[in-house]
Amino acid sequence: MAAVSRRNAGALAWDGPLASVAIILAVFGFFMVLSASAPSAEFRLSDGLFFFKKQVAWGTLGFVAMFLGAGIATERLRVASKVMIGLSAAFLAATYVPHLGVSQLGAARWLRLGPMSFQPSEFAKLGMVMYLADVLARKPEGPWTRKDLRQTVLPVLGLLGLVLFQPDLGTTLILAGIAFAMFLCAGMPLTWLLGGSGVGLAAAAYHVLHTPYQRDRFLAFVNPWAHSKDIGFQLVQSLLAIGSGGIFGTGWGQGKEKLFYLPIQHTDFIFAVVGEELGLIGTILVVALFVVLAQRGFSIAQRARSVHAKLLATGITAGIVFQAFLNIAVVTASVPTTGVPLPFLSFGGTSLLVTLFSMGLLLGVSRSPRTSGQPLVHFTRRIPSSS
Amino acid sequence: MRVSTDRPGVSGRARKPRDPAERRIRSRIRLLRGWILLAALGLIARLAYLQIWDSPHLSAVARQQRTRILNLASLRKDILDRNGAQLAVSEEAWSVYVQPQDFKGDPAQAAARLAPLLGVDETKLEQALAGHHWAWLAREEDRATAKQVRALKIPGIGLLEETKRVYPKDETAGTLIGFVGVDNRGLAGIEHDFNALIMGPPRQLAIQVDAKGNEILRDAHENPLDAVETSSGAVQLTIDQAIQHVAESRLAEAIQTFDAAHGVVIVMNPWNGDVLAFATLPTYDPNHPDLASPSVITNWGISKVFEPGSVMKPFTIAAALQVGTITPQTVFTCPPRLQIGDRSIGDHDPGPGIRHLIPAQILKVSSNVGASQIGRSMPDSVQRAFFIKFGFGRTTQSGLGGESRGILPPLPWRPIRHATISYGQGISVTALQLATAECALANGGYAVRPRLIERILDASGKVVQTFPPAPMRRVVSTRVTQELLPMLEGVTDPGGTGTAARVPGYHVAGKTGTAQKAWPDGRGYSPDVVSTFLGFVPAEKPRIVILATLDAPQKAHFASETTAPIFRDVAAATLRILGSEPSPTLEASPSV
Repeated sequence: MAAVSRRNAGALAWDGPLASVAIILAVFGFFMVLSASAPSAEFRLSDGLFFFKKQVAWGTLGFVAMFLGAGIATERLRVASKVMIGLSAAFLAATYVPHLGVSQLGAARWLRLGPMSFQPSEFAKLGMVMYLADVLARKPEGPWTRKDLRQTVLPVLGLLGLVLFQPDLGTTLILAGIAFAMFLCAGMPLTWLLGGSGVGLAAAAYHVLHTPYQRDRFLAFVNPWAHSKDIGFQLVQSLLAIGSGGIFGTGWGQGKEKLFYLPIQHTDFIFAVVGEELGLIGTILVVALFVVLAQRGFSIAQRARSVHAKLLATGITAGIVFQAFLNIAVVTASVPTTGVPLPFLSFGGTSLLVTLFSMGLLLGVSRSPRTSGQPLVHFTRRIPSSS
Repeated sequence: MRVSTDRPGVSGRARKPRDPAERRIRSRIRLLRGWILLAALGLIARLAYLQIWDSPHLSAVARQQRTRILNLASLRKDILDRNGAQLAVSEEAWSVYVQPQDFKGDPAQAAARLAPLLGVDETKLEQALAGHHWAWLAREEDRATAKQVRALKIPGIGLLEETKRVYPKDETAGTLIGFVGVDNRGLAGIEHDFNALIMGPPRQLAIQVDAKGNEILRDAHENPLDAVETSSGAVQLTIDQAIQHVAESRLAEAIQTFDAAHGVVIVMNPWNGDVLAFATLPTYDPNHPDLASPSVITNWGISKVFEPGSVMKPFTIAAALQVGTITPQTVFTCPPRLQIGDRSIGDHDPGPGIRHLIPAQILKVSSNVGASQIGRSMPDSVQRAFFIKFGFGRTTQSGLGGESRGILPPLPWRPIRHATISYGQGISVTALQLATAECALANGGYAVRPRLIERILDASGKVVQTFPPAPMRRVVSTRVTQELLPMLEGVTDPGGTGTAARVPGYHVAGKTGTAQKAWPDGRGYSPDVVSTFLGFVPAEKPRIVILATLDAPQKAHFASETTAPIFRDVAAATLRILGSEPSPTLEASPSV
């Protein structure tokens, strides 16, 4: 009886705080995109609402996707995991094909499909999470075999390579971070993880120092003020925006840095607009919302009934929060610039859609504790004792 | 246990699952949680640093980055007379320009619409509009015109607010005050010579611009010009507008009556050098300097030199009295003509036969023969040194531009030159030099410097700078001026050459001068004369020195007829304006 009532309650009840945080962040993002993009949209497209309208449209689609995602039984996702990573790799590979891939700012990150274009790398994040959650959950208890590594590490390295050479170091880092969290969760020995991270970071450093624009970004990070006219311009403008906000900010819509001083103000640097217009109160609120998201996400992972669900929840949560914090660290000049958008807030249809859909999957994990196909023995033992 | 409960982990932890895999997953998720929290704390610390600690600096840099300083036309200070009457003021004006990049319309059509408003030739406008360069279409239009131009809303046609100089008294003191160019810089007169004083501080307007250089839209209630000084104070002259007016109208009348080429009247306070009036005619209206000929723009009273004639005699006598070669009682034997070398000099009104004259009589009848002998009683070097002390042969340092030093011939003086210089021929002076030198005779023997600028006021009328009179230097002793005074008074007594200069109720000290005018090439003398009366009143306690000069009067030559009456009328009016009681007992205060 108790089990039935739990099942019913679970079928209906979402993780309310998590859903609220997702919706608050997305709607907050609409308004920040409006404020940040209006001047440049008005200037370039004679339509100050252009980006706002697109963001709201994608967001609305995203909310639908979130509801649908929450409705999918988590276990069912495993069926699609291999397809997802295959598609991810295919899409990423397609960006290298002339005419299909669309270059922007020197990076082929977009894929044009008819009237729409989307970012395969955003899709790849979800694809990798779904795949890793599936294969890592299949791994039998015990030491890691070569087969385990071949099934898990190799596909990840393949994806990382495809994204890295787009080139998109930021997304590469995010994918690596997600993989790290999931391998960690799946019990990979810490020495392996740390060793792998070390090798990865060394490779990243080599890559940065041998890619001119990456090296510039590093030099600009080391001392943005010395390069405030060229390579450090973006970073300096970002710091000026955030600093101008002070504690209370200039008020929504009142920021001055977005008036063509701050580059890509409505995408990667939207957090600087938040900083200027809403001040420390606004920036801490955004960080706090992501912290709440992380706490809820990891709680769901802890509570999840299956290893697959735990890994899926961990991967989604870690991916979103890591990306958010990396973006904020870049905008505050705390780490060298890597072009990643701020989840929920930055303008970008694919990103918003995939993020909200991922939130839906996470909510799905939270509301379907008993649909797991491979209940862990101790869970089934534990539950009756709790009622 | 509800899934959506807020603290599921508590119950989870409380149960301590035995399964090592489950325990490991739990601990590793906790590890991730901890790292996320640490990272969040780090970011918050960084944000707090940027938005609290570093915020003042960063917002200042940001503000500076988007601030542009616009240089506005500097506001010229008003020019006031000594009583605050406005002689020159700045009014707002609008200039119209075309910015070719923004002007896309048809030049002919736009020109046809603008021409009637601006009063500019249509074809000229069309040319400017069709050009590839930024150009003025019209300068200094009034507010109504600017409004109409704005109402046309032609893209690329812009309006710039400037200031326009206006001279409310029109021609009064026109030459003295001068005028400014359309760029607001003084081009002539006081406007030019004291430009640095009259120009207000450079005015700047800070505006906020976006990164493309466009001004960031302001709130509707915000007026950027609120921050800009719109009044920049005034420069107050020593000139008294009323005295100036009297001097000019009386001078104009005399020029008309005697058909003279030029005329100058200078009224000075002998005690401090204040120039109360400086009239030069003909003059022009500084509101329309384009209509004026260059000859009237130049201040004749300081730039043009002339041989002063007999008005120099008192200076010769003063020098001789000072060095003691004569006394007031020394008698000179004066034949009708005096032979010096192969040349002879004569008096204009020689008496019958040989006259025996003391200095007072020499002045009274203006005897050249007598003055020559007084001059030649001193060495030429001594007389020349005294003349320099009186201010001849050097500028008066009035600050006015284009002052001539005059011509004081270098030593040695041949005897005939020494003789003629003693009565004012063979030496050239400016009108202002004469008036300034006379101040020393009036004030007890001190040389003064002419003062034109009294003080500078700020926009609220507060005095911000004063220009005290220059320290006076002694030229001759008070004994000398006391001995000279009766002689100068005698000139206006019955039988003297200056009786027409007598002001009812006052004793007048002065001297006439009717000098022959040299041909411009310096070879001999023309039939024209320069007639001068130079004197001060009241004689005992002088309040004003007045010089009146007519250049080339045709209807009458002698100063006794031409300039002495000017002196009289200007002196009477000035004493009235200054509030001096017409009192024969002459107890008026010596200072103005």
